[in-house]
Amino acid sequence: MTVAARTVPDRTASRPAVGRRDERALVRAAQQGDAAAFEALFRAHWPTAYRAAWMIVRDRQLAEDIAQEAFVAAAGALDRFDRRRPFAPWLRTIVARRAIDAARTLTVRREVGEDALAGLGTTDGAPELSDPRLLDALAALPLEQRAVIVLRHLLGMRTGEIAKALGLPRGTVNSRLRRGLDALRPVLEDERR
Amino acid sequence: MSDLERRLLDALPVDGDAEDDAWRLAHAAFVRRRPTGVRIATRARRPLVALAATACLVLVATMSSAGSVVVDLVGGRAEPTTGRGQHHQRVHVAVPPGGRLLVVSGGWASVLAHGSAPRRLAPADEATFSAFGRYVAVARGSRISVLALDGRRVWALQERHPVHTLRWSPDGLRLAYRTGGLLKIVDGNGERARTVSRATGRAVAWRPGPDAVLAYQRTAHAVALIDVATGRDVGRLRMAGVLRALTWSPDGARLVAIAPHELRWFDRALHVLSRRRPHGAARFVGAAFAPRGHRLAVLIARHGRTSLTAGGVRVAQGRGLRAVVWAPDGRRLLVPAGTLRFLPGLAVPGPAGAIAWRQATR
Repeated sequence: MTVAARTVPDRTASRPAVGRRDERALVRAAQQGDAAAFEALFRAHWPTAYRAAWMIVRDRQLAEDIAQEAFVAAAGALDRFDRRRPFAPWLRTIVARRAIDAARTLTVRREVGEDALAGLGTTDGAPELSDPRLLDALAALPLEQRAVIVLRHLLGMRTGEIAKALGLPRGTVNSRLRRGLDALRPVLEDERR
Repeated sequence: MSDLERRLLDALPVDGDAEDDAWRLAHAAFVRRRPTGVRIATRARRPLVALAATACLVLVATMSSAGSVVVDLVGGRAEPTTGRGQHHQRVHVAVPPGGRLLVVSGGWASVLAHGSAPRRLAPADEATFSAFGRYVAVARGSRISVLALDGRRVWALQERHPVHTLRWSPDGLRLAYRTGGLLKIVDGNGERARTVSRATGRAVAWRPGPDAVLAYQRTAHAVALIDVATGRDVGRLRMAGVLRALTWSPDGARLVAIAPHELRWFDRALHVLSRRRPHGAARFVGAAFAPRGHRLAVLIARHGRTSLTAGGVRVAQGRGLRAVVWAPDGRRLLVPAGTLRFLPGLAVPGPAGAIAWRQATR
């Protein structure tokens, strides 16, 4: 389905970074009912959560739903969260698992009626990509490789964390990472030239 | 930060509007969260269950076939509302990722997704999902609109008369609807609205499968099957009275016609396989095949109460039950209802567990 790109207001530049100690304080405050603290956590992690979901499922609306559901789930489970542990990996694991599940479902069942809606001159709101070559190359990877690359290089998860989140041996994660990066190498090297 | 990390971070802008929408839902979830211990303690004591305020007047519920959607009220969180003397609870509808629930409630079509509050789409009298749940068609008065799940309108069509009985074909290529005593079809992209036949009642059902065959009540005494791709009649049967519903088995091999005083099974060639009549003053209200087609859920009204049977065994009863919907995994049933007392220990025979979608009993 051919879609028109659309420009979206991006607040990434104006977003303050949250350090590990700040994050722990925010989690504590949120657990005590401070909505502003929870919002600070939300605003700090939303962009990465959304981007990771999008890069795995390659569908704007579904990615928004996945990221949104992850935060709703996180809000519901916040009281059970052990605040001695870092918040970000916990949230990222929720996003990653949901996105991979959704991508698997998408692979199995594609919308059949999509072609019938093509050519309407409407947009499905596909975002304007600033690095489409890289994202296209990423999208061309098998889901297993794409997911571990997004988890490692966008979410910043360590190999052990990825292995735990996906229920895979470390060696499998490493081999998928290596194969995925090999496939992306031409795009990455072109950029450097 | 590696080159790849930097490029991935910069590659995709983040939509601020979507972020704000997500924040509203996350904030709502944050506000209503409560410590686990309290929830467990109250859950066991409270016998009445009610939907969250967002699903107050559920009139229609349909399940998208996208993914393995399960609406799980049993697994949902039962919470007491605040205030002394209130003996009802709220249940959060838990829909796993990959699927959604479409609800028409209080004049609005809304979509429920996993762990989130309903997303209101548009004012609607009726609504139907596209084949895999990525679009929603809504009828409001004499207008049909097709919307993406975030509420963006894809196309709209204005009819002269009120529109009823919107049905999206299983292949997603066509929408059937009734208006002004006619059965009409419009392509999935909003083009080529055309009349198929005159029609009466509200029983319209697409036959599952690759061919575009539609069953509908043509007159007060006749049900017709038409291939809408060719415009050719492919079958007709006589059945007196205004039908409550027509429903196909998921493999398209059997058709069930539900009239108040009779329920008939037909094979694909419209030969009668069996008939059932309700006892005494009872009336059939509706029926739905389980996703695998191995079981039929039937609503039967008698003396103001409606019973829900599945596989021939009564699993629930209440007032104001008008429709029944199976979750796509065949493990649960949804009954959009005015009120229904919570009946502990509901169970569909066999491996499935039954659940009804219900409203607060205050």
